[in-house]
Amino acid sequence: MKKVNRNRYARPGGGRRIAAAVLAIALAVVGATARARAAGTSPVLLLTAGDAFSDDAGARLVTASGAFNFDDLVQFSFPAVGLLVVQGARFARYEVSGEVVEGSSPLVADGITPAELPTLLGIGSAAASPVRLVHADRGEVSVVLPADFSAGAASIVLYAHHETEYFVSNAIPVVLP
Amino acid sequence: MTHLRSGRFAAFACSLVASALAALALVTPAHAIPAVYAGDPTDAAGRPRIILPGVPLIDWGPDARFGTSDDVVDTSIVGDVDLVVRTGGTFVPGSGVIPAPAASVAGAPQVVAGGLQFPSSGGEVPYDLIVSDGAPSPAAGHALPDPDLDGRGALVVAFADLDGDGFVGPTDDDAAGAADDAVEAQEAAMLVGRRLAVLQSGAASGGLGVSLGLPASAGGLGLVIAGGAVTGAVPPLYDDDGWISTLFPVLWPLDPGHIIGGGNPRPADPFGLVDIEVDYERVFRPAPRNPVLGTPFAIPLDGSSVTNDLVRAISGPAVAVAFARALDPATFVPDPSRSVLPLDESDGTRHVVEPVRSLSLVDDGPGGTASLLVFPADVLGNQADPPAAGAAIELQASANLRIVAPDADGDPRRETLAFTEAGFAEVVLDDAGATNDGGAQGQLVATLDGAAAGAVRVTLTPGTGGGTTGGIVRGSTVVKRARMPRKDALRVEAHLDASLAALAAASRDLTIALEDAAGAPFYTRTLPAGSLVPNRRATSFGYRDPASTGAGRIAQLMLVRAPMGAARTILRLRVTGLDLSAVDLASPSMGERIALGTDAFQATLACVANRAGNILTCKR
Repeated sequence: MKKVNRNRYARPGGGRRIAAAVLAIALAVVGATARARAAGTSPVLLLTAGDAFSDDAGARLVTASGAFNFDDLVQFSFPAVGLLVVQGARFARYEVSGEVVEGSSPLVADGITPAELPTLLGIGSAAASPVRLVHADRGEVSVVLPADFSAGAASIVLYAHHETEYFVSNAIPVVLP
Repeated sequence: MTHLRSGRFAAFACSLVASALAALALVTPAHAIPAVYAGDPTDAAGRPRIILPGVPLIDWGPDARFGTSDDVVDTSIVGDVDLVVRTGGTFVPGSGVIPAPAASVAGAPQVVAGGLQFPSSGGEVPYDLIVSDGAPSPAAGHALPDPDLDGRGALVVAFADLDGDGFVGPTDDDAAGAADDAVEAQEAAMLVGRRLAVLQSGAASGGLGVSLGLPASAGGLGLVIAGGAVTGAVPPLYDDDGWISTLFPVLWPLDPGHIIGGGNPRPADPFGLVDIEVDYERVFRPAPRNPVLGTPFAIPLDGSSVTNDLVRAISGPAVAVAFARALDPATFVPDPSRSVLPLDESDGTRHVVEPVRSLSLVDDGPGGTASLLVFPADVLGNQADPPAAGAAIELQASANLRIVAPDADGDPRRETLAFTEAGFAEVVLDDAGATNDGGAQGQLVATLDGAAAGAVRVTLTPGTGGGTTGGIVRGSTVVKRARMPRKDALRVEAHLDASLAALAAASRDLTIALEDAAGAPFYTRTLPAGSLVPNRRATSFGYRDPASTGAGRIAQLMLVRAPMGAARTILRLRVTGLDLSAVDLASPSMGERIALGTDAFQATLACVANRAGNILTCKR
C-alpha cells in the first residue's frame, strides 16, 4: 500500500509559504531589517517538473525543476541536501556538495517520507563516474544517472537535513528514455 | 514602475510634508537612541529618519507606496553615513579606522562563485559591516564601537554589474544610455549573495558566498556589496524601530510590515535560513536622471561610493554545458525572481542573457529557426573558462531536429564546438524534415569532453503549411578583412525570389547564414520575429543594432521591395566589427542561405579575391 507522504509542505499554510518564497526571493535594506528579524525555520523544497534525456552513448541525464534554498546553500552547508532519483528499489542520491551515493532499499520503493530520510542517508555506496551532479541553480538541478537505471518510470525527490529536522519535497514522476 | 515627477514633488513637498511627517510620527520608542543616530535628522516624534547615505529624504507618505501623490522628497535633508561594508578582511576591530574600499573590480578581493558547499567550486569573501559615526571626514566616518547595537541583526548582500558598464543599477551615463535601463534595473533587483549577521561592538564580520561569476580570464564579474541592520530595542528581533544601511541601488519598503512572507521569524543567524521577501511593488526605483533626485542610486564600481565595497567574482571550473538566449533590452521586465546571467564574448564584449531550459519550434520544415547561445559552464551555470587543453562540446540533436548552424561536419544531428578560451557559440536549431512530421518533442543534448553535461527539451508545435525553398536569383557578398583585429566587415546584397509581402518579414524570424566553400559557416545571425521595422508604406523593413553593440554589429539590414513591382525582395546587410580571420579569402565559392520563417532561400556564389588579398567578392 502506498504510504502517506508526510511531506512538511503538505501541512496547512505550507503552500502559501512556498508560494511566497518562490514568487519573491529578493531582499535588501529593509529586507536587511526584515531579514534580520525573519530568519526562516524550514527549507523550501518544491518540485514542479522533471525531465529525462539520453545522449548518443546511452548516458541518461535527469533535470528537476522547482525551488529550493539555493541562496542559502551558497552561504552555508546543510548536513545533507540534494536530489534523489528512484526507480523501484534502486536509488541514486546526489548531494549538492557533489557526493553521489547509489544503492537499493525497499524504503524507497513506495515513496520517501521525512521519517525515512535519516535511515536512507546512511544507505548505499559512492557512485562511480560518470554519475554526478551536473548543474544546480535556483530553478533547476540536473544529474547523470547510473548506467543500471533502465528505460521506464522513475521519480525524483528533493531532500534536506537542516538543524535537527528532515524534509522531503513532493515527488515528480519522470520517464527515462 | 512609477517615477517621481518634479511637478508632483513641487506641489506636494510643501503642502504634504508636514502632514506626512506627522502621520509618520509614531510613538517615540522609550529606549535610548543609539549613538549611530547622533545628530541625524528626526521626525516630529524624535525618531531618526530612514535615509540612504548621500540620498535625499524620500518618504512614501501615508499610503506606504512610492510613486503616488503623497510621496515626500526633501532635498534639503541628505542621509549621512551610518553603516559601511568592507570586503577582504581589511578592517581592524577596535582601530576606529574604516579602510578605503577597493578602487576597481580588478583590485577588489576575489571570490569563486558557489560558496562552500557546491562541488569543486566556491568560496566566501570576508566582509565587515561597520557602524560609522558619520563624521564628514574621512568620507566613511570613523568606526563606532559602541555596544548599544549589540545583538541587532544585519544583512550583507551582493549586487552584480551584469552589463559590465561600471555601475550597479540603472544609469544613462554608460555607453548604452537609456536603452538598457531595464536590464540595469535587474542588477538592482537581483541579489547574487546575501547573508545574515549580528552586530557586536559596532561591527559584524563573516564570509559571503555569491552565485554569479565570470571566467577569471575575462577578469571576473564586478559585484557591489551592501548591507543593513536593524536598530530597535526589543529583543530578540530588534525590529521595533528603524534601520541603517549602506547605499543600495534602490530604496526598499520603509516599513518591514510590507515585507511579503515572514511566517515564523527567528533572530538573525549567519547559519540560518533567510526567509523573507520584499514586496517589489513597494520598492522605490526611479529612472536615471530623475528631475528631482538625479541618479543617486546607481552605484559605481570605482570605490567612490564610500559605504559600499567591491568583489571580483569568478566562475568555477567548467563541468557543464549551459544554454541561454540574449535579453532584449527593449522588452525586458526586471524581476527579482528572474534568473539572468552575464556572458562574455571571447573579445570581451558583454552580453546579458537568461538560461534556456526548453524551447519551442514550429514543425514546419526549413525555416522558423531558434537560436541558442551555448557555452562551457560551472556547476551553477556560470560561463566558465575551459581547461588549458581546451574543451569540446558535442551537440546531439534528436532525429526530428536539425542543427542549422554551425554545420562544420555536414551532419545536421551533431556538431562539435571547440573552446580554447572563454566564450560562447551561437547555435541555430530547426525542425528536421517537412511539415508536421516530427512528433511532439525533441531534445538537444550536450556533452562536455564526452560526458553528458546539459540538455534542452524542444517542443514541436504543428506547422500551418510547408515552407518553401527558393532561390537567390542575384546578389553579391563582400568580405573585407581589416588590418585591425575584429574590425572585419561584411556586405551582402541578395535578390530573393519572393515578394516582400509574401515574406511577412515583420512577423517571422530572419536568419542569414554564410559558409565558405568547404561548408564551414563563418557568419550566422538570426533576428527574432518583430525585429524588422516596416516603413510607413511597408515597402521596406529595416533593422540595425544599437551603436553600442561591439562585435558583429549590424549597421544596416534592409528588406526592400524590388523595383518595377517584381515579385522579388532585395536584402541588404552591412555588418561591422567582425572577426573573419577564419575565412579563406582564396575560396572559390561561398554558400548563402537566408530564411524568413518557413521560407528559405539559398545559393552558391562564385568568389574572387582582390589583388591585395584582403577583400573577397562573391557574386551570383
